[in-house]
Amino acid sequence: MPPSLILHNAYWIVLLPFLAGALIILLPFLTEMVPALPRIARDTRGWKLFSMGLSVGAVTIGFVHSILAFDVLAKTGIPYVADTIWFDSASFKLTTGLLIDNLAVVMLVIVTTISLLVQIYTHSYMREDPGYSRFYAYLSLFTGSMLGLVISTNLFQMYLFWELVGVCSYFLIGFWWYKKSAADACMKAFIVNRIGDFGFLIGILMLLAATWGYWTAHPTHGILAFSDPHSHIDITNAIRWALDPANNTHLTTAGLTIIACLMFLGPMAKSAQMPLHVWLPDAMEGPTPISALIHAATMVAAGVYMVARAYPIWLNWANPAMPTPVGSDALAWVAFIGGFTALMAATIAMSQFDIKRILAWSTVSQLGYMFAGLGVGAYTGGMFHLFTHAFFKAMLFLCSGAVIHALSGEQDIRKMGGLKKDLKWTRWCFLIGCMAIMGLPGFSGFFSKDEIIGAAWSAERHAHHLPVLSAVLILTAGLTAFYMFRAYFMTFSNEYRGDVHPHKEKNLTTLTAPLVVLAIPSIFAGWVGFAPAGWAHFGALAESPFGLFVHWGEPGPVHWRIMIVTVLCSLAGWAVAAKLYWKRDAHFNTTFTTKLPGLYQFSLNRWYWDTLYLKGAQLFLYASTAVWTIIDSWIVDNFVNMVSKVTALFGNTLRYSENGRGQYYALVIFACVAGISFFVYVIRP
Amino acid sequence: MAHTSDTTEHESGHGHDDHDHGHGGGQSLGFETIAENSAADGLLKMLAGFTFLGLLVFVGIMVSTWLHHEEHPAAETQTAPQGSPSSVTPGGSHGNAEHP
Repeated sequence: MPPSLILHNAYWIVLLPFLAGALIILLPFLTEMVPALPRIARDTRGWKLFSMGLSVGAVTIGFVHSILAFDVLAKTGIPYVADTIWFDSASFKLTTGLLIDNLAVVMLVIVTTISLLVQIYTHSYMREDPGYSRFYAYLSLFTGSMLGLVISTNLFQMYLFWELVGVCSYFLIGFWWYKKSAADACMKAFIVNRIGDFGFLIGILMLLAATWGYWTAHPTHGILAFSDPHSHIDITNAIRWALDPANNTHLTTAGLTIIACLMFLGPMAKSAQMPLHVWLPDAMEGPTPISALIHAATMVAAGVYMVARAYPIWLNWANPAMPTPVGSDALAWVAFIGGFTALMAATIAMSQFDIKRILAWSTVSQLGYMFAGLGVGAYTGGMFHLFTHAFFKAMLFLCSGAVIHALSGEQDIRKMGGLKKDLKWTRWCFLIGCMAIMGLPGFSGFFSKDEIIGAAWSAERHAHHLPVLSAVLILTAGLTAFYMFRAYFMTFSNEYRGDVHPHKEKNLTTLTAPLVVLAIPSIFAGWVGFAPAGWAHFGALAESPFGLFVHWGEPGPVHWRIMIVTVLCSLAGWAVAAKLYWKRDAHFNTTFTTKLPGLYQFSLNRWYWDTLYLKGAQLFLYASTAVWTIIDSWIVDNFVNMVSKVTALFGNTLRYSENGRGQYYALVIFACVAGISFFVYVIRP
Repeated sequence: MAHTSDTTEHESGHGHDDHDHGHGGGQSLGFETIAENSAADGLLKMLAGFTFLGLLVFVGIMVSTWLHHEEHPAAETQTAPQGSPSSVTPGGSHGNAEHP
């Protein structure tokens, strides 16, 4: 196929999953309504397999197409942009289209790979579920929405797919809607995301208002375009134009920072950053395959991708000719939120007992790393961590699903143990995932995480700040190793502590094959971020194969000392976990929980964020009830009472005039006529 | 609860259980489940292998482009100097834009 045709037809990558999802949902209804068509019974094996085939087929084509598009871009190096008019007016044009550049195509490959493997796994995991076909329909729609977000050419198109991702996640988290916890969780996810999306939308509209003159000066081009390699009429140049005092837009760098911070509310909710993170651990109420998809390649990745895609908005524009991450208040905010969230989530994960929730908190923490990376200017590092994290986190979730499946639904790691005998494939894959996420040298997480920590160190050094952020991230690396290996040892080592007899894992099945496929990039994916030109340049991500494709003014190579300290900290975390939960020859965890129960409860109760929100909501309700009581009883009641009293007063006064005597009425008429005559003839002249 | 099932139709019964393991009530409501080790399973396992091959191709393209790029430092364009419009637009082209 000619290269131009591959890119030109890339919209099928998005369209096919949507079509598959729509067909699975609509075809049975259609056959019910049209008598001429043969009726499709949704509960039959045939229809289920057909649904699976449609969904898997669509994403397989997308996967192949993404790799072909990547090949084309690797050869030509020229981004492809195709826009069609969505809404047209005399002064501006809103477009929708296709932007295939290096960043987008790498994301397309990640999303389609993870989605395809998750869909293969789903077949095994959901084979006995009555909602098998419906689940595949939602998976397709979810994948399509995320892919649409990735190829968006402008902020409005991205916002549309952003919302579609949110809606699909609502359906998937609440897939088992008959469970109250699932129904509550999907509602929580929806509400928290609406709060973030509201800020995101306000930010977009403020940016549009600030740059309005620029877009109306170019009415043939779409507004709020991310990138146009030919005309360069895009957000970057729009901001540059708006900041020029000659154009009288009144946009200042401080104003742009406010816009960036408002827009960042969207990624904070979507990518579960403090304080809008509360929905993500509850989202574990959905089936495990969707947890893997949400946590690895879609939904939470959307926030990181959005910041990377619209990165110029977050830069320091003090010098409009050369915007830079250095000294950007908006990026400092992103880095602060990311660093704080990484640490907070890690401290919470340490004390949880639900295997999926431990992984959920680890996702929140790793997303914090990504935002910290983007915040300190390690653009490539942040995106590289998204890339490596997608593989090992998807694998870890699928492993947890295999464990839960084997234990007929048990998720509490206190009722597990010794499963390495029964779940050999899952055990090894989980172990690889733990080593990757802790950043063991040679494993994928090592390369990406150290890149971010090193960049944080360099950025702070250059800005003469205290190296707080890098210290926080190093500490978090140690905690990560601790809580991941705590989960590993409690699940797979020592003796089995549960009541249910674990089902023995068979040789490579559709449940384990995706794990094995993901285990290989979980080990090796980091090496594409390694530039073997010389060990002196170790960590120079910008010079690596990955850095060649996704880069933006990366800081220098990682400092050796930082890397060694990080690895030592991770190993210390592993050692503590091994001593407590594997060898079990130390009991300082028990001492800790008894001597410092408050601190332990603080971690166990997730820093009381949910309690805080609940109390906050109650306080708001009580306060608003009190205010409305005052308004109702004092103002509304008194006003109504006053109206009745005034009416009664008038009635009491005027009733004397209604006496029924003709002479009296004649007297009144005479008095009125006399009064009017007096006014007209005596006073008025 | 049947962990592995035949391709038999399930009897009607009481509905769903509360566990997250994909068996949300499989033994009830009169719907059909899908057998393990069916043809679909075989095809999907092959597809998993195919996905792995695809990933290898992806990495292969990335590395070969990088090697090609390293071999032609004169043609190295990277993106435009920092601050120019194309350089502040993330995700644009890579260094091979001017390769034949």
